[in-house]
Amino acid sequence: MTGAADLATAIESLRAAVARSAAGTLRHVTVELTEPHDVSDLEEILGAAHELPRATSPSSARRVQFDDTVPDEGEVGATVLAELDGGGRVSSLLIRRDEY
Amino acid sequence: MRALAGQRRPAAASRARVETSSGVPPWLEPLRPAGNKAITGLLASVQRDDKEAPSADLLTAKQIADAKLFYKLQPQLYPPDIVVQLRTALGLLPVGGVDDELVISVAKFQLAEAGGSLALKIDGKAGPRTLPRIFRSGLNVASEGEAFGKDVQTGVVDQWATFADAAARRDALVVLVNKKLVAAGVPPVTAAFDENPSNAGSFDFSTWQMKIGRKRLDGKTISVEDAKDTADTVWHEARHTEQWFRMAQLRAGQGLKAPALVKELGIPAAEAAKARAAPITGKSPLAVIAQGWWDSVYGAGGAHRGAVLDEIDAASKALDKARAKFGANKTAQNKAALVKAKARFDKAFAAYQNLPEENDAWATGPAAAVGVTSGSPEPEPEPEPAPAPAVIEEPAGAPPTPGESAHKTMPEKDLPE
Repeated sequence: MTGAADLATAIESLRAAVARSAAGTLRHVTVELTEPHDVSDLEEILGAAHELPRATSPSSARRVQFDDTVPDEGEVGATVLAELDGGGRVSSLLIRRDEY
Repeated sequence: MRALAGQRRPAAASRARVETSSGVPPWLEPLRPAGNKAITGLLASVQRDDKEAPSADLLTAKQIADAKLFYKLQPQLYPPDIVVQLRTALGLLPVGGVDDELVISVAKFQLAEAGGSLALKIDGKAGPRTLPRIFRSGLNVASEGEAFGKDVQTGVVDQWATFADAAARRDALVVLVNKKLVAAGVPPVTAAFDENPSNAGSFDFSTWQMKIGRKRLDGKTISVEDAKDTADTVWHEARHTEQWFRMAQLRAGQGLKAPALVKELGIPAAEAAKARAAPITGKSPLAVIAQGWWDSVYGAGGAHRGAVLDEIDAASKALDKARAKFGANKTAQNKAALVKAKARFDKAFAAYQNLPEENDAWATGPAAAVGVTSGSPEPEPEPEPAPAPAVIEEPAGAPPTPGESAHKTMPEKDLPE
């Protein structure tokens, strides 16, 4: 498998595990990548990303959200957000359990 | 975000925080001993002197005309029923629309706010910074903040030594603030530490977490100043939580369903669903206020906000660097560089505090500090070690003191049997 395929497999496994977790047991997990990736690499896996506004702390990391990973109404899923380093590359992933 | 005053930014930078939070420009620094309230009152009159010659009232004719235009050019934000509510809130007759009287009343309100924790620009425009102070609701009601501060006093500060560690104190603070959030119709947050040592606290809307700095919560005691600042910080971040939920309710009221709220705002689905179930609909002051926050964060102001946050982050780092350089080598050149870095930081911090959502949170937090009246009790002294066995100085075989048991004084008692 290529590196990109490995990453895709790992992300999907994590998403499945997060989505499967019982309600109330897990809100999100953060995963540090072994090396930074371009946002476009992850867009190939997860669909288009859009940058979110920064949180209320100026030192907070810039984040993008992969909107295709947001579950539909009534579904349970795992939304993927990525934290960017100073160079605008993805350094870590935040996988959030989402249930309406 | 609230920076940890006096920690990462000692002396000059922490003073900058106080200056900007009270709206005092550096050139008024010599008047600081007069107290913030006195200075900000003075500031209001100075600001007027800085501009065109004021009319008999607070604003010049040109400023009044400019303010009236401000309302008339935004009919979607200031339709007639909002103007009526604004007039009523300011004690005017409901009829009259956007007239001189309304503009001057707004300016008078802004002047009266100069004595608070964060001054408002006196321009007669009830924009996104002034409106939340005219129509106070939720955590922005001063008595709510003070009540929370009292809860912090009795529930955390007075019990300081009974908590196992900093995490337990953090969790207790968040339990208290969640009660207030829920009472205001806002989903509760989860607690986490803010691992950035320069931050006293922050709100992360993507995870709906309140992050609190560990440092102040780690000590065996807490001073009254730090306890006040901790209550202020938690209340400030809770107000951000409320703002984000109001923005979600607003967008729900404008037709977005829960998944669209998650996509647009980046908030968790559970909070999006709650906003969708309780939308802000129609033209209400709360809707106009929430629209002001949304415009600043997600709308037309978003690029400006991003640039402001980038600049304060960069200016803070540059100030730290300049301070370290001057500390290591006190040359005139390094001093000049430090002064320049400080000026850059002050300017960046003022711009940051002027963002509508930050202006509101900085004006809200201090009410909580009022409810805190003392630091933690002195910890119980460590129990003294058990006393060593008494040394019997009497010679063996000395007669017992009259009236005492002989066994108490007989050296034989310690002899092996």
